[in-house]
Amino acid sequence: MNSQMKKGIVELCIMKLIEIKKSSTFEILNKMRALEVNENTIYPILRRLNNEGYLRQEKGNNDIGAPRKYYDLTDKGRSELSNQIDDWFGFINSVNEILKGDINE
Amino acid sequence: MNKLEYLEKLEYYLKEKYFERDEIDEILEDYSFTIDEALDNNISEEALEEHLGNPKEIVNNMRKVMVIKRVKKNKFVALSPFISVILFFILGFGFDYWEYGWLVFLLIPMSGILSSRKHRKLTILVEIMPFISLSIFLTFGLIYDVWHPTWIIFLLIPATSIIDTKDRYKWLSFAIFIIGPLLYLSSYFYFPFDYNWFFLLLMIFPAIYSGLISIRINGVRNRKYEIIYGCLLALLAFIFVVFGSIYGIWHPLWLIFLLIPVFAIVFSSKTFNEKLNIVALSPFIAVVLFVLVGEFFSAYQWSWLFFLLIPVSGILSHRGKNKKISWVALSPFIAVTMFFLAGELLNGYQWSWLFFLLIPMTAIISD
Repeated sequence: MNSQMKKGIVELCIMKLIEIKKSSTFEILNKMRALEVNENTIYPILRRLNNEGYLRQEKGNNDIGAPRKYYDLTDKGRSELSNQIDDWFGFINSVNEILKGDINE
Repeated sequence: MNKLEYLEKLEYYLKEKYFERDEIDEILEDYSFTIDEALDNNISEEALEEHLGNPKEIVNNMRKVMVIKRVKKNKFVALSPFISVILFFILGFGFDYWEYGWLVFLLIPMSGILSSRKHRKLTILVEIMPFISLSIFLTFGLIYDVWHPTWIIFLLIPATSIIDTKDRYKWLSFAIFIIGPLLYLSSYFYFPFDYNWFFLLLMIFPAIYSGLISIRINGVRNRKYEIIYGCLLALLAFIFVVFGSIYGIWHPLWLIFLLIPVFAIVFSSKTFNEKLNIVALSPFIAVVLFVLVGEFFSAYQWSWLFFLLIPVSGILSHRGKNKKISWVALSPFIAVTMFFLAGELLNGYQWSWLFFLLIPMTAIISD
């Protein structure tokens, strides 16, 4: 898989994780470990999404230890995520059709 | 690596990649929170980099992601070499200001700094200060032959760097830092005495406090090199005062102080990780060559040409993706150098202007 495509998927996963639950950078880093994503790339993506208005940051207190900073999706972020998910499933369906040989000549 | 070192390293690389101060502060705050959370989750300080990433790589990635927003070429920057050449000739032919008209070439690096997307006026001031002080110093030196104590103007460079920090007491540090040179100048003009240079030592305290005397290896301050750096400073001050007083050679002895920034550049982390930063060294090399050749060969009429090394080194170092030298960008400097050398050394001003045809010719050939 080329790096540009992987970057797009990582971005999609990050936004989805935040939609499911407001998350801190550390939590996102931990969850993305399963995808074997280079940890050096996560924060730059978060920062860009934040700068472009897809995410917002808020501070929150924590029961144990230091206070945290959480990312949440903005309305713009939710609509972007929904578009990206549609694009993703559309793409996957097309790929599956090709792989299964279901293409109408 | 502990939290402080991690943040220090991150800040170093962010500054190196020209992030704005406000943005740096935001990123450092984000990482401060993230590190605290990692430590709360029993991640050891040694494993911080493994879990959160390598500061240098993070910054590199951030630069790639945000590159479109930052790299905005300004037409004025691209035109500045040509504008400088035109201004230089207007000043020379129109007003006979050949001796110091070449100062307009400093417009080239200054235009780059002024057109950068930096919101903080102080950061722009810090970056532009070496050129402002160099212009004032050379103007006074060349026109009035007052090299000493005009060199004091260079102290404005570290003084402005003190203000452009986050430190709580930066204004107090700045005030103490400039009191030394002000007292020295007052003493020089109004109440001279033998050891008035002691006033300059006052600068050491705010300089150390503000981290002006800081040497970084891989982005983290290195105490060992800082001690060597401090000793070098003291040694240079000693040599300057002793030889200056005994032989009265304040000029060009002041040149030895250029070893201070040169040392800092050579021993900074860039040297350890990458190749030597010639662009950063070029102003100092240019000043030394300009003064020495000008002084000992009475060649101030043309030794200013060495200052063209500054933009030339910049052009040679930033070759873009194809690694090719931009001869179009270099051609104005080559033409000016050939024009003056042929004019001065071969007395050929009647024909040496032909070298300027190299500029359009190079553009046509390079397409």
